[in-house]
Amino acid sequence: MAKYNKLIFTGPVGAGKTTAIASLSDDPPVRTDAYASDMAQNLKPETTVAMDYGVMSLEGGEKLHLYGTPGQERFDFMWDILSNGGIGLILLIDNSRSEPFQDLRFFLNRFRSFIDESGLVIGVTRMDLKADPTLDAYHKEIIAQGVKAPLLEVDARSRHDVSLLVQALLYHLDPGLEVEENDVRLATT
Amino acid sequence: MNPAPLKIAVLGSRNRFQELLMQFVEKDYPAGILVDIDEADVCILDFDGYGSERLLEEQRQQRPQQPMILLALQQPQHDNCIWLKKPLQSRQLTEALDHLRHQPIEEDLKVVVSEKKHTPLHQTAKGLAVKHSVNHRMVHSVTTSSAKYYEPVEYLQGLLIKSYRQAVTTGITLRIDAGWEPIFVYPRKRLVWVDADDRKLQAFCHLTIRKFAQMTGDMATGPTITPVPEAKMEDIPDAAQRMDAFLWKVSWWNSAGHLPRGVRSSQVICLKRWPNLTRLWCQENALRMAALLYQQPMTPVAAVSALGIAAEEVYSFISAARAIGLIERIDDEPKTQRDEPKSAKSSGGFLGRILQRLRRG
Repeated sequence: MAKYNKLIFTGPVGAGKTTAIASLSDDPPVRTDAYASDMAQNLKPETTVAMDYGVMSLEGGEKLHLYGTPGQERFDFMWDILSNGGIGLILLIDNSRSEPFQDLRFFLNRFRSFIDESGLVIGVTRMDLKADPTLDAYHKEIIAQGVKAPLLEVDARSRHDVSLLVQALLYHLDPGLEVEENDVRLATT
Repeated sequence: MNPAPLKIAVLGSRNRFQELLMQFVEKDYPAGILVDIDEADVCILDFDGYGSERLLEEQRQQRPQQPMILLALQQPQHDNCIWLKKPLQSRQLTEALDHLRHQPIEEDLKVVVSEKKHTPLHQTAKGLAVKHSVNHRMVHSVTTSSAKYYEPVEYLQGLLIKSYRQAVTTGITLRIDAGWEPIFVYPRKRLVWVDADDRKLQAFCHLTIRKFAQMTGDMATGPTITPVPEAKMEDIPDAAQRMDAFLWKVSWWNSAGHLPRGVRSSQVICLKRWPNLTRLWCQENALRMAALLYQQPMTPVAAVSALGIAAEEVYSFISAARAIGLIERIDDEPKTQRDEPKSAKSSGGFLGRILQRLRRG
């Protein structure tokens, strides 16, 4: 039986999955990068071929496992393996790519059954480089795809942003979630 | 020392519900006595009854200081009244009356119903078979105290919205003068700049524009919005802020826990989409509020009940979200609105521990 103790980060090549996991993980993430020999090399010299893996230790000794899927479609056999037992999907879309909506539709369709069974949050990266499409346009697009999910602009290098993105997913799964401590507050910048 | 018995008048045309109320006071509320309206410390009015608006108006004119408890399905738009939502529960009414008995009458009343089963009024007042259902799921229901409202156009919020509209339409940089630091709106970059930090801005947001002018003695000139066509993009200071983020926090602070006029506390609303909370000033519960109001249309009052947090925080969130165009009003009463709000509080187990870890840093 699958243990629901992992989060899945997915999205196209260069969207920031590896960076996002690194910003949350307690330890440097395990990476399975290889030199890109295909068109991905135009985006970055190395790309994930199997998965990225990070971990967060929780109170009581439990662990939250953070898995990043390889961005390229030819490694998509890994996607189902990795998403089995996931709490939810964190979809990162690179806004500076030429067809971000095409990426969005592709990943929504590809992970449709997983999304239906768990939860989804969408983080749009690199909006500082390219402001269009706007979040409003993304929202219309996901509604057109029959999806209702939190949608936030993120910088994958920022722990604050990635943390808020994951918190949005958790509250989307259960708006009633509460933490006991009074001293923990949302980091705001 | 026990306070004197509370003198209670039940107003309205004679019907079974009114008789039920009178019987409740006589039999089940020993701390109160039924009296005529002229002697009453407090009046109870079935606000859904025939002619209730007129009765309330008369009462307000004749006895403006007299506390009034309104029983109604929807929250009435009347200040200084205590609203008890129907279906009425005996405990709610008892708490409201007890509160009035012990508190100065000017004070706003908030009755918080704790999580436990309540005795329906129709069971308490035996012999009368009036159907008032019981809701055992109701938690922290803010059943009284009218929400307070503010008028955004009287504050910086209104001036900003007007300026944004003008700037975006013309594409020309604008300068806003409201007797305070000048504010510049750069529509092409969608940026705003003011030479003031958040602390100063927040202080300014506590006042209406008019009141600020009175304080500074500058009543001669009203706020002005002036085009600055010669402004260059390279002149925009680094500290400029995003237009939506600036308007969001100004609206939050202008609200000061009040709802903006145009959003009634009984109006069913929802979020069109999530606010971009990674780029907006936000409070601890903003994510929870966003999640709830995005998933489920509900009234502001129901959101307060469901979240179990201060109404002021929810109302400020709604005000900020509305200012940047994210609040949708639902005219047709959805099924969810007929249901009593479910409590949206849970410790969450594993998810709660993830949240705890993320917040701790």
